[in-house]
Amino acid sequence: MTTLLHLTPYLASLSISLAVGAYAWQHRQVAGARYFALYALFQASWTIGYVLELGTPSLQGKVLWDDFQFIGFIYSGAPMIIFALIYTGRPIKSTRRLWFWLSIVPVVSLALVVTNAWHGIVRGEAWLVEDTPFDVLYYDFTPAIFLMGAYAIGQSLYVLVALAHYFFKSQYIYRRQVATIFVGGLIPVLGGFATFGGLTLSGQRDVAPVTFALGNVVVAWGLFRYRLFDLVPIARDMVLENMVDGVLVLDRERRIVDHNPTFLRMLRLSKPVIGKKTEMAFSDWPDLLNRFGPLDQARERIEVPREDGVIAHIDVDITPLTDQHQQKIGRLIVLRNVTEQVEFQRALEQQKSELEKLNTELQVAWDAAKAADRVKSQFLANTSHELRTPLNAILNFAQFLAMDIFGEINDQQRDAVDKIIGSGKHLLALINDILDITKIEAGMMHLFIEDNINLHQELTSVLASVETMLVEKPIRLVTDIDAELPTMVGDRRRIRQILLNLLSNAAKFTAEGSITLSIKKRQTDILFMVSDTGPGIAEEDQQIIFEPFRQTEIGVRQMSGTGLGLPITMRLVEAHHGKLWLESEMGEGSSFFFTLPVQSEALLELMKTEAEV
Amino acid sequence: MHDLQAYHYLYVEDDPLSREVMQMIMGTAMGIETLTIFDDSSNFMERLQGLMVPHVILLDIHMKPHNGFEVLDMIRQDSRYNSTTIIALTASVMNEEVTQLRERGFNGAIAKPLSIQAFPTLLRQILEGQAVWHIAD
Repeated sequence: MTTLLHLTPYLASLSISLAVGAYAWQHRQVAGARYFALYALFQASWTIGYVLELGTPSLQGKVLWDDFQFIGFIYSGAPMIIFALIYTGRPIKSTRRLWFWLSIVPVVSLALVVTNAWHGIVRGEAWLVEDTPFDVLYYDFTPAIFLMGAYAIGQSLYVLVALAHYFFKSQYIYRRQVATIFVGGLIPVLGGFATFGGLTLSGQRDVAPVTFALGNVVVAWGLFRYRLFDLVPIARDMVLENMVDGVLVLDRERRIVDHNPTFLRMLRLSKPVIGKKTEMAFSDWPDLLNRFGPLDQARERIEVPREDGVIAHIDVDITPLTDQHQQKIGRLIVLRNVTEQVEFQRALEQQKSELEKLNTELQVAWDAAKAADRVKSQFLANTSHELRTPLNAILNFAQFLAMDIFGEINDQQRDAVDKIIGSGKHLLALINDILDITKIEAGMMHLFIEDNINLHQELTSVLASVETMLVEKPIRLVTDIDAELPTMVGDRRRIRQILLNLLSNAAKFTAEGSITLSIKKRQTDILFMVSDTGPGIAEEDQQIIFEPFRQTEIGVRQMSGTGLGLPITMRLVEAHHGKLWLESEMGEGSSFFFTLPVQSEALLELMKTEAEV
Repeated sequence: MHDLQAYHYLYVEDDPLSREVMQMIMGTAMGIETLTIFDDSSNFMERLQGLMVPHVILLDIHMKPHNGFEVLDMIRQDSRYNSTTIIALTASVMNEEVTQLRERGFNGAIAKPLSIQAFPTLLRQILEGQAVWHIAD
């Protein structure tokens, strides 16, 4: 029982070392953590060695366990240094190479310890001093042991200095963590000095393992309290250093506590500013100082001229920093360069306003076009009226004469009146054609759609007109028309006009022979054919005849027509969603084909919208 | 079979030659004696109300100061003329105008130039309630 009581400090130290090591090992993916675990393991081995040395009764056994303690004693500095370097963010080229250099002294020392029996460099003569409950091993300190101790303490001091340096460099919230590790590292060093100074625990026992325990308690508290391996300062440094935003931390007295390189770049500052008052550090920026100096909280966009004179747009974001008691301890200022964003937005807006302008122009042009359309439409209606009114009077009065309403006329007069009527009708047809083609070209021809057209009925009047044209010519009119034709959709008058145009052309240009009208019902449409035994149309003319005011030579010689009949016919067929084509060879006659749909959604739609005109 | 000579007619037309043609067709050719002619559309309703209610009103479309559509609207607002047949006479070949005539409430349309042969038939068909929207070929 007493034995256990005497061992308690060492066993406690051992378990703390092991616990800290295990904790670090759990976080070994964090840079530096595995070296801290190794450090804890070496300390634990040292304590184990010491406990076993105490517990072993024989001198030989005690010496053996004392040798074992040298491993932790001389080797624990190496992982501690590597951990400290990583923790404080010092650059390490190769950890393996560093480990090699740091291993030279420990390996040599351990070799000397193992071979001590032959040369006695490390340990001189050893003896036992009787004590309760354990006998204690004693031996004289040799210069080698002092050197090893100096080496171990030197390493610890180096670590402490590095930590201290880092303490002043690091930011407020990390300082406690750094300080804790510093104290945790300092205690064993003090213990080491004490040991060499001859300080022992009661009963002549070694003080070093207990100082490890104390140090480790502090470190363990620091680890759990500040979550050392959850948030290594170097990570925070990396983030801050590489951030595209400028970051500045001020304390309560408006002194600069921290900043990243981006911040200095943004404000074109080259001198170090940490520790300076803002008034000093930013003396080149009086405007910014006036504007933001007194503010604890702000969110504004400012314009800052860059070195090349281009204006940079920067969002300034100021937030107050408070401690856990909500006491103001400073300010965090973040600068974000939004120049590209602003320029992009500006370009977008410019594009938008250009589009709007274009839109307005289009609207104006559209309105003008519509106004022009109305004017044209009105002009056509007027022209139609103005031309036809006197012509109507001419025709009507000539008719009255011909009907002997004003008294009987002689043959010569009748002949003259017939010529007046004939020419009048021709002139009327011309006027109608010109108005038609004008309307078509202006896109203003409207079909008057009906959905119950009986073709046979329409053909009666068409064929009657054609027959009157053929009365004095040796031409037969042949018809080949399906007896059953469906009622169809379309513009009744225009369909008659199409047929009459083609048939009267055939009558006009055919000297003798026959004219054939064939109408065949097909699946969805009706195929019409008007063929003649006339002179035919040369291939090079077959396009021309569909262009307004163009006629073939034969057409010109005929001295009748306007050259508008076929173009109008073509467009009327197309307006009905049909097709028109021709097959002809010189001397072989001509055949004009066209199709008209029986039913057409588009035309029916037109019939409905017509009602809204 | 309507006896066209038994009806009263009103023709509104600002073109003198057209008036003369109508006089020839209806008066001379068809033997109708009950035809009144207005030579324009000014003070139209006052003048109309001074007449016996006509059975048939023939309206020119292109005239002043009120065109045929406006005159039609005026007549249609007076319930006394509810049973009057109103026919448009137009020289226009524009289909769209025909559509408009039908939509606006004319009872029929006859195209100019008037045909002496066809006019009585078309007139009779309209009076019988047939849809006649005649456009000259």
